[in-house]
Amino acid sequence: MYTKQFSIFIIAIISTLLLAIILEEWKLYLVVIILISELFFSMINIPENIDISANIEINGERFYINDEAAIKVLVHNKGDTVFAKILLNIPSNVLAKDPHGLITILKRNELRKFDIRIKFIERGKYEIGPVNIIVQDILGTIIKVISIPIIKKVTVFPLIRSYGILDLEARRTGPWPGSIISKRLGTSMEFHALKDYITGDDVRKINWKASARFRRLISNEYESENVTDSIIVIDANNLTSKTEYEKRTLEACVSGAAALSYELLAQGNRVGLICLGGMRNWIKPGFGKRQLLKILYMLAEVKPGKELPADQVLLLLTPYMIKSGSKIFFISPLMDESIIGAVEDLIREGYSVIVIFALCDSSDLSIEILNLQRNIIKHNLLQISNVVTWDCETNIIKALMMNTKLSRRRYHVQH
Amino acid sequence: MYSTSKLKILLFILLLIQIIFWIDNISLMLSIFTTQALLILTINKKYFYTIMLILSFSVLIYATLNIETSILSILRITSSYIVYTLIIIMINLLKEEKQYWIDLSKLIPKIFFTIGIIILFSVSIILLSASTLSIQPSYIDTIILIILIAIILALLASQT
Repeated sequence: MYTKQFSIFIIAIISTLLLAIILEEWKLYLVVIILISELFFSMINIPENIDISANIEINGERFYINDEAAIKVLVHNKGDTVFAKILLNIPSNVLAKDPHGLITILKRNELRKFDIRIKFIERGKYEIGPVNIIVQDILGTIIKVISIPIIKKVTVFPLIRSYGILDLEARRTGPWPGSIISKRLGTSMEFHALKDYITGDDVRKINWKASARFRRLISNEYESENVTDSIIVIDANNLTSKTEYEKRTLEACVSGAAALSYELLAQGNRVGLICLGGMRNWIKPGFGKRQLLKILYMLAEVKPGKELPADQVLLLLTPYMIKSGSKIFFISPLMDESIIGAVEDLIREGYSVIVIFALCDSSDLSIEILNLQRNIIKHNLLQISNVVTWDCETNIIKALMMNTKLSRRRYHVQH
Repeated sequence: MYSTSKLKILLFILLLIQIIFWIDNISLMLSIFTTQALLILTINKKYFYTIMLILSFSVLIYATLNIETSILSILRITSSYIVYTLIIIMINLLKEEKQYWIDLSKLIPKIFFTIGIIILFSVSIILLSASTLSIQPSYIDTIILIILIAIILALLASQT
């Protein structure tokens, strides 16, 4: 393949030749001869036997936003000595801390490696590679491009900002011990009632003051703390990635969903996820770290857009995922009116719905007008369910706990 | 890995050397070389390489048109070719400077080898044509040619 430098040579040769003819100056023919010689010398300098292999090593497959990854590119030349430009393809939305290519001379059987550091500034699934090797002469007049199809896949998770204790009540709890107060009697620290002491009761539960008052043994009854099932719905319907405000809002929703699922799973609850928007997907509720990982993988892929209205998706999915009475956290920027119908349907089905209205700051007039429409949706939602307005810059857990309707105890911030 | 600024320093030195060769006709050439030197200092401007290339090619044409059978004339033409070629090499190496590490320790012998070949071509063709067209080269020119060929042979030997 001919390059820009080849064109420069050809232009120089032709223009000198024309100048020599016009000026009838024999000396200029010398320049033409030398330029042609240079070009010829350069062109015969490309080796015939090119056999180069490459490999990529990355220090992980999973990263969070603002994490740095160290990439090692290994190149092995099994053919003739070549002058080569080795370039690792990296996605455009990744910040390269170092140059991601190398210009060098690779001798026969030489193994060469170089390191690259990249920083992930956006969540998502990334493909690092392939490695392109451009074999050329020193003047760069002719090149041969070899693409080595080696690709490493990396997932970048949203940031989890969780600085609080999520302390909620739930209508429906599971049989396993957790941190949600249930109607059943159990062994938590929350006092429920007094009862007559019967043989076999724990002696430590005897209420001595009450026993003295009633002149018989009275013991305390405590509430049980169990786990609950919940679903987090992330609503990217009617959002686009055209404006900075919408991008910021979507990222806040995703980050909030990550923090909420982390907190709920840390308390031992079963958590599921439904994504609405450009990438419609869902995960059935589950426990533990593996579930958190599944959720984070899905959150990494959330895209704005609208494929189906929220009410249609939720009415179809939720009965299949969790039982009536379970909690549904609906994180939404309230851009889509179909959310009202969706929440109405879910409440009718017996679910406990909390709408988290993600509101990012903006002094833009168009956003202020948009906020008026969003406040109308919020007003309609307030009549049927709990709506928590969450400032995107703050902690979602704190926003939930500041809402006295939802909080069982006073919110306590952990530093 | 080395900084590409070393290559730019090399070009800068070559421009300074060129000025010495044009000492008897300094006024025009000084302005050209000063422009080129300033361009090197304010590197990475949009049209840096294009302007450098046009200027160096103009110097090359001018030197060839004023060919004489003196050492100075041969040095002028040879240095013009070297600068012109070096700029093309720099375009090749530095046009995507931010994307690549440049392994200059390995590249510099290759660059010198290329420049050596250019010297061989340019000087021999000039002397050959000068003798053909009855411009008698002096003995000293022939000695320079022999020295240059020796350097090139040494470079070739270092390559192998």
